[in-house]
Amino acid sequence: MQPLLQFSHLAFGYRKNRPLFHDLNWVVPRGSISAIIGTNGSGKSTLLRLACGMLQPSGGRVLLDGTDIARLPDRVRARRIAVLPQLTCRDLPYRVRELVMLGRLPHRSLWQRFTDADSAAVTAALADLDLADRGEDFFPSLSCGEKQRVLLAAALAQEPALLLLDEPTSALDLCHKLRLMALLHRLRRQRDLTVLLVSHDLELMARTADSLLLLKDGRILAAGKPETVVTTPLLRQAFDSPVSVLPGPDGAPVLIPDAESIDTEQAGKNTYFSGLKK
Amino acid sequence: MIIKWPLLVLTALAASLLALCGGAEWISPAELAAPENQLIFHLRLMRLTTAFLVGAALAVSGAACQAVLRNDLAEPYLLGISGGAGIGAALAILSGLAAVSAWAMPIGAFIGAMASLLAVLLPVRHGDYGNRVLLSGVIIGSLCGSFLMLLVHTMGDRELAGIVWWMLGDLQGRDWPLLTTAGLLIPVAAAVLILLGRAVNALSLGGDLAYGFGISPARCGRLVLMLAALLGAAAVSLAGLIGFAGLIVPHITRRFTGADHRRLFTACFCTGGTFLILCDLLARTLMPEQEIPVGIVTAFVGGPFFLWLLYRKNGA
Repeated sequence: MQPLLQFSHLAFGYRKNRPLFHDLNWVVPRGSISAIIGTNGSGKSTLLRLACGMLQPSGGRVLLDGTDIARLPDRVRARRIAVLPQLTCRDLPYRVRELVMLGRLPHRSLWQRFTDADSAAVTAALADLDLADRGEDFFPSLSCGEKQRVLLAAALAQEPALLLLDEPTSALDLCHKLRLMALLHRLRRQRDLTVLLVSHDLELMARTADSLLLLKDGRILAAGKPETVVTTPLLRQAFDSPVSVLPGPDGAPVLIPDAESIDTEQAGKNTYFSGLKK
Repeated sequence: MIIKWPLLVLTALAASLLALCGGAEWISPAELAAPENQLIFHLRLMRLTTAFLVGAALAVSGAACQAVLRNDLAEPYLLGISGGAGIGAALAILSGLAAVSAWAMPIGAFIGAMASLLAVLLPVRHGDYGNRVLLSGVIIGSLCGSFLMLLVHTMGDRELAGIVWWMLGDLQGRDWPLLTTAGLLIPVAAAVLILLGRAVNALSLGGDLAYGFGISPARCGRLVLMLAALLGAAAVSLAGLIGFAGLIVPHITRRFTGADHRRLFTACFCTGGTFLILCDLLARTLMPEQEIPVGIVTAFVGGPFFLWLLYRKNGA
């Protein structure tokens, strides 16, 4: 498959003397669903921000279809790439439909009226996210999970070629988690949509993503098909946790923490769990 | 609630008519047309125009600041505009230029306001608007305030009276050329903000979401803040420091327009102007044979009304 997004010799750091990424190379194939996994602070969200040009690399390039995204004008870039940032449960004083309509901004200049095509895209995005009858609701009156779906609908209304999602399932219930992954697969088939997402839900990603990137401290520990990345030795190395990967009933991996890791005596020695001991 | 545009325009026209007739002495519209009342008509019309323009500028500016900084308390004065403008106006008085030309104080205030805004925006990088700008504004504002007090301290009694009146809001129009200049500047800046309304909608969601929708928080946010500051500075140069209008009018108007900033800015232009016309009418009529500075009236009228709205909202 042709790469849609390419990280080429990427270097980046929030502080000059402490680089997070150094000479990072990775490609996201067109029409694929790829997930970045790893520990907190390993650089997952930072890589996503570099992917959409929100952050500028100190070295190397991020290429979209062979073009450096730093060179793309804002509106052109937003027509190709949609971003769902990490959910902060913010209260935005808009009605649901008004908010999703903002996803059409890149398709119209600021003084152009929205057209029927824009309206249709918004209606379709709302229906896709199970929000068809919630268009007139006020955003602040929604639950966190519903807010996450509304912002995702706005990203879908952009009709992008590449969808970047930062922990899109963090506030979703089991039903909507599965529906979201099914929707992403359907959009991939129908629109040739490419999805790059960050997630802590390793089992879901192993089951639904085409390829995984496992990060630790800004380094690529492993990249490739889920079965080559979600393995006991790699996860133990990445997460410093005694966890085992076992095949589930359908062969997909299931993560089981080793018994001693939640041993109460062990937990007592660990300051992180000390609050629970009481 | 849906806003009724004709009602908004009619209210503004009715308030204007009231302000033309009302004052130290009530003059009916028919009497106002009489030749012997031409001077009063002329003065009241200039005052009415000044009040409308200043009110409109402050309200639109406040709405824009609240959106970009994502803070309900934001208003043009919080960006350090008042402090800088105060220094500019005080320097114009102290240098004697204010006695020579009616333009000296407004121009001094305008230059001071824009200079302090640049100082406020200087430490802000990467479109990181919000608390950083507000903090920067508060610091620059208090620095300017101290310097202004130092200047006031050195003033004589006559100069002191001028600057104090100006600091409390002074809507007495100075001359038509000045008013015409502001009358061009304020509607043009407001119109550009209305055109940018959709981008402001995106900015009001936060930098990361706005960026995703193709709106650069750094560039567009700075442009909107500059326009808001321009409106604030124009208002300060015309009428001195009038608090509360930029804070409360957008909040009240938003209840009728919703959060869409094209509607909000357009409505604020009308409601802000009407609000200040009515406040000025009160300032001229509340105490017989004595005029109260309009800034005091906006605080007395606006403050309790705003609190009442907040209580009612919490109770609902």
